Amino acid sequence: MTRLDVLRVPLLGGFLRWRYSRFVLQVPLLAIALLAIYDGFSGRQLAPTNTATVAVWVHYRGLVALAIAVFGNLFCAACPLMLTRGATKLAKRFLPEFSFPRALKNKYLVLAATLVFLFSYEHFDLWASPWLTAWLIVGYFVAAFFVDALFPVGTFCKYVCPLGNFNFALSTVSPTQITAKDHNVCSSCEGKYCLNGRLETASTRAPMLGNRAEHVLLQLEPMNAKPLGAFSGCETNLFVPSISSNEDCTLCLNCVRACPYDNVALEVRNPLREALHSKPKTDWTWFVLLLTWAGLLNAFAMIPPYYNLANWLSGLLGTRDEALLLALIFVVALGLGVGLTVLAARASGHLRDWVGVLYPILLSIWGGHYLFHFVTGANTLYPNIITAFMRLGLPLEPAPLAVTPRLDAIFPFQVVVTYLAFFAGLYITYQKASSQAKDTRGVVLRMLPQVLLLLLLNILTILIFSQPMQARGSLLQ
Amino acid sequence: MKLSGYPSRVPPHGSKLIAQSLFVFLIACAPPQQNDLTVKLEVTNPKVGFAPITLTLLYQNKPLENAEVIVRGDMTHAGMAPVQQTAKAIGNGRYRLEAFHFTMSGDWVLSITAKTNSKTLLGETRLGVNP
Ligand code: SF4
Ligand code: SF4
Repeated sequence: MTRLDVLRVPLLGGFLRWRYSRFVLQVPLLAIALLAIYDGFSGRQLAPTNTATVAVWVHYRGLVALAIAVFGNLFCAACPLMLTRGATKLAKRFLPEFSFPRALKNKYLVLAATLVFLFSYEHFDLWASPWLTAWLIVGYFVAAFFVDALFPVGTFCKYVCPLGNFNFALSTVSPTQITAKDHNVCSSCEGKYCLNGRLETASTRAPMLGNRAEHVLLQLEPMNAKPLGAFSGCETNLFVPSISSNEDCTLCLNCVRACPYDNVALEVRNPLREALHSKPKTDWTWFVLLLTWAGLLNAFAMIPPYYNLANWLSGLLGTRDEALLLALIFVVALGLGVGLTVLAARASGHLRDWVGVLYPILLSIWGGHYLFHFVTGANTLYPNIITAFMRLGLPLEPAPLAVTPRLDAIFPFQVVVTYLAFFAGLYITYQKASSQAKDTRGVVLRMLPQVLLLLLLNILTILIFSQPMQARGSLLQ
Repeated sequence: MKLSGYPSRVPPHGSKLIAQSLFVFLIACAPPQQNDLTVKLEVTNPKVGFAPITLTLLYQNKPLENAEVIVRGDMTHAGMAPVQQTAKAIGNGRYRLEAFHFTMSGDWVLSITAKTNSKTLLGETRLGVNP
């Protein structure tokens, strides 16, 4: 039985269950994306004065982390890329549909794409370029359209999109999760509609697909007929009664609408439940591992010691090739971090059993970093939107200049977030060690490597956050 | 320091051509990138905090006199609010800000708006600010 179900909360629950709630959430983000594309291509090419760069690199990233921490993967739910669905369905009538290659049905492609993205972000200085940011948005729309047009719908979210998978990874510690209210109802469910989708007429009910080989056609009493129509199932192929994590869940709530037995809940859960109990697959484990250390590296690239390191390396190797130096920093930093984590996990047991310890750290590193940019730049978007609207011909007055808050005021929040994650990591470590070891000595031996790893991550994060931020375009002086 | 024009990062030529063809309607809306002034910046080892700045403004290769000069400082990266101050004319096309507030270290762009009796002129200059 589920505990608090968000879908039962008055008003909010009704809104979320409404068929068009996703569309209502997507439209404002689509409008901002279109304005960002317009401003990115045609506005002044100075990042703080352009909607593209400010909306994407300051607001979007900050709000994603915040929404995930306090609610769940809201930004996948509101993702405007999914508004290409109409065009995708149309294109599917004319294009052949391929099955996505088996070798790519895992997170390794996403892992590679994430690495390429993070490298490009630093090397091409994406957050300083409205033009490149606008291209990035366009590229995302085009990729979402073509991938889902040529392959089964949902392929993009599950196997290709670095952003969506980043959200899935951070959502491992979000406080909500889709669950089945009553597993007995699922056992006797004839159509597995949450997965397959549901076609309902006044007198019949049938699954749209046969993902679990259910091809049933129920004759219904007309009186009992639920809302009529076609209700899509889970596009990322999640089957509600077997869901134990937020991995791959876009919070689209298709499953809620497709289930004719009202048996799907958006449960409020212990944010550490997934970290404590789920045992992810190997590909997901590597993705989380990489993302954790990439988060530290991404924050490190914002402080003076990063540039000092690059200059020192440049002198040592006698090269000013920034791509080479950056690649070297990436390989060494990520290699060391991932290597240490693997060693710690091996010393405690198996890597997949212990990766959950990183979940809260992952959110705190990325969230703490994005929090800084969001708080310092929160009021810089409005003036840019007004300027873009004025260029579009709207009779508006220029907005007053944004004011920067005190930068040092954010550090205490970052420290709190970092320590919360640290103590959560310790708690997960203790729980895992206790469940695996038979005696106190075993518990201590299993905990020790994880505690050392947590301490290292904690010290590095605090050290990075405590440094004054620096925004520079080139690696070398 | 010499004026470098508004677009901070010129996209590669091939891709720029494609972008321009694909987004003709967008590019057509682009505001003219006004770039009237040559700006010379005098500042010694700027660091985070307050620093004095002197600007020499040349318009059509002659010192620009008696203008009302507003200097807006932005970082090259998104996320920091701008700093805006009015500069004082000190003669010979030179304008001075006694304490310009650099709020973060890194790359800064100073956008200059100079108003004379007859026109509004724009210029830009860049500088790096140390921690
Ligand atoms: S969640 Fe609903 S549709 Fe899915 S198996 Fe359970 S009862 Fe059937
Ligand atoms: S349909 Fe799938 S992705 Fe959508 S909310 Fe349900 S489980 Fe999550």
